Amino acid sequence: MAQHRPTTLPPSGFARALHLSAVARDNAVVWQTAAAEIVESRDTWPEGTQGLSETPADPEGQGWTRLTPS
Amino acid sequence: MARRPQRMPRWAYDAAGSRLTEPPESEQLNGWNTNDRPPAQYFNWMFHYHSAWCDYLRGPSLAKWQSDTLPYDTSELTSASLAVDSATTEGTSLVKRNVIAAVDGGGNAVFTSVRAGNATSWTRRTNFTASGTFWRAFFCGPSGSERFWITVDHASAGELLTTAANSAVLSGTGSWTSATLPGGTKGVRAVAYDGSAYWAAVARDTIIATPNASPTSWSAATLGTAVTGTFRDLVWTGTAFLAVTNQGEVYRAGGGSAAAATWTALSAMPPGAADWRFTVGPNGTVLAWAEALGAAADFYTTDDDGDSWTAVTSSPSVEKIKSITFADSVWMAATADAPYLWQSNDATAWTRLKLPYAGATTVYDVAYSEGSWLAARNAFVEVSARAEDIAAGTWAPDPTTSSLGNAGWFRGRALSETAPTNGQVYAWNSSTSKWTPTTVSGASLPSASGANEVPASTGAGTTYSAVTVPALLATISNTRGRLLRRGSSAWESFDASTADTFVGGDGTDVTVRTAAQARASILGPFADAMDGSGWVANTTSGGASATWGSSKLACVCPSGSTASCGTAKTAYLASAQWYDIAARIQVIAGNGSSATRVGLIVGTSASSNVSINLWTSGTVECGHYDGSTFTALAFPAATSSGDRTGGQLWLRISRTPTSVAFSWGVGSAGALPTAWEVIHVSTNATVLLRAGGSRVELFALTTGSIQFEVDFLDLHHALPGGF
Repeated sequence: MAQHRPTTLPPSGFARALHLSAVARDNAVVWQTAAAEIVESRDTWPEGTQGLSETPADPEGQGWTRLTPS
Repeated sequence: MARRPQRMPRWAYDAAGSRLTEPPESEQLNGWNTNDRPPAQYFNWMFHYHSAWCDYLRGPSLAKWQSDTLPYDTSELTSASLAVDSATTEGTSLVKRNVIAAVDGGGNAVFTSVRAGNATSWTRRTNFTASGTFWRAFFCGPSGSERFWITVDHASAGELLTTAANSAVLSGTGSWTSATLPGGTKGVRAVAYDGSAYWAAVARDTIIATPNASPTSWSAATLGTAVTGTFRDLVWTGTAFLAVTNQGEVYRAGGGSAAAATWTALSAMPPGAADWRFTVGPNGTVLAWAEALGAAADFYTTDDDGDSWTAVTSSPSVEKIKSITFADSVWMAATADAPYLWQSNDATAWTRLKLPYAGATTVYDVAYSEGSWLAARNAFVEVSARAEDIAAGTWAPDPTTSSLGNAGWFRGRALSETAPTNGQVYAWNSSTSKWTPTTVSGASLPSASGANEVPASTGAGTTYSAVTVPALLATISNTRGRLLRRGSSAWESFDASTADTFVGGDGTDVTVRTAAQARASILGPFADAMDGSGWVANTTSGGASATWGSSKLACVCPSGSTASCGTAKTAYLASAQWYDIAARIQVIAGNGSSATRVGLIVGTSASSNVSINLWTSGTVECGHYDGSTFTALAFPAATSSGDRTGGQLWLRISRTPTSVAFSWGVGSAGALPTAWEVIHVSTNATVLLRAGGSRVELFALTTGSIQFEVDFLDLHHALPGGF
């Protein structure tokens, strides 16, 4: 079960695109929730990582928008 | 024709006599010499008399007279008294300006003219019903409301006729009004006006007065002391009325209502009884004289309104005086004996005038009218030539410069009087302090032996000789292949003959530049100043910062969240199609993490470009960006920890019209690497398109919470072949 926590993206532009490309390569997915919150979701997190929440099985069905490339 | 002058010069016209000194005969004969310094008194004398003659000559000519005919009735005039309307301005209708109250064969009559000087200009007016005899005519009154007056003498019933200025006809019926006088007023002799408020008049044994508002209804004044004689004349001095009788009694009153009150008896005229008359002169001076006296007698003057009198002896003796008038700054006396008319500047020294002879005829009265003097005789009025008026308007100077006929000084320094000889010039002689004719020695140019020669000397104080320009240049260098340049302190030559060298500047001198130097100047590499000039900071996130200072760009992405920062500059590259650009970076903190990115972006804009970036875990990645998505082209593992932290790591992007290459290398001592590791070459049209620009951006970011610090130490760019 994937878990997510809030994250901060660079301002819209090259830096955001490079950031999303980087985390995607690291097998993470960045979502914009229905509440417009930016979250980073991974299948596994380092031991002791704080602030994690369970990512819905169908985030898009929850109105989430995927930001990282597929 | 010369312009009419607009000013009448006057000089020292009222100066003390000591201030005017006539120059000696010798100077009047020869004039002054150069360097003479005539005293001011000479100039005062000259300017005074020159301007005085100008003033006199423009005045009425007392040497040229015209006779106007008086159309008397039956027989000639036996008395005449002139009055002139000097106030009414000539306008649409002609002013009846000149009036003579006279007695001729037809009795009392008034002769009037619009302007004297026309032989038939006088008209005789009649229908006067007064029982007395016309005595004298006057013109006086408040400004704008002046009036003519005729005093009528009678043993018991005097009259005072009056009419407003410029009346239509001036005949006895319709024009003149007989003023209402106090009962018992005897023959009226004279009228005067105080300049503002009251007329006064003397009758044989009374004085009457009236204010401005009632010229035709008079009231009696009171004599402080009873009069014994018969009043003969009355004047306004400027400050007081003065009246005199044939016994020499003098009465005085102030102006205004005082004229209708009590008149004060002053001390009598020093000689006592005489047919006294008064004439007011300059500055309120009153001249007292005896009328029709056939013997020499002094005049008397008072400057204190009759308190004291000073005897004045006329020279020559002026006798049988009918009238004395002061006008236009001169005294005029009309007499019953030849020359019949006299003129004086001071009422003391008199000049005989020369009227046209019409027999032995008395001049009864004389007056000044419109610039001419009028002298009333038995059948004529003699009219003098008219004075010239000064023109109105603004003086307009003639802008044409004039040459100085004979200068004795040049800019305050004297010119020698020695005549120059042929070819001499004026040179300053400091021993004589004069510009002196001087022969110029050695001033001629040397003779040339050919074309395009110039004078040149061989040293200080030597004679000039003609030399060619090449000969002059040969004094600097005569060796083939050398160029002339200005050195630090003199002109010098330098060798520019070496093959494949070029002449250019090195920042200080013009010098020879090798091909390599020329290539470097044209192709580069060109190093950024690393001072931030012209760079615009990107919007940061996560508290990151990109700061210029100490010749580097320090980027800091703090731990705690993801962060990003950077800076960009447009129009950075000389060519958007052909370029090499490389950045030297040094990781300060955060080495060894895949959550870091630091790199270089080049392209057309912020949303269309290519880039190369370093991960502090070692990977070097390149890619392109379309404004939405970053597409990686390659991301091999590459650098060592030492490479990343040593400060000599360079990231490079190279573009030609057919490909874009991404590479990295490690140099030393801040220089570009001599060998590069190419991680990717793209010939893709999209990549080429996005790389075809001159905008450059430097950036750093973290994708997780990590303290990441990295410096950009250098940024070089070049045209192809410059690196």
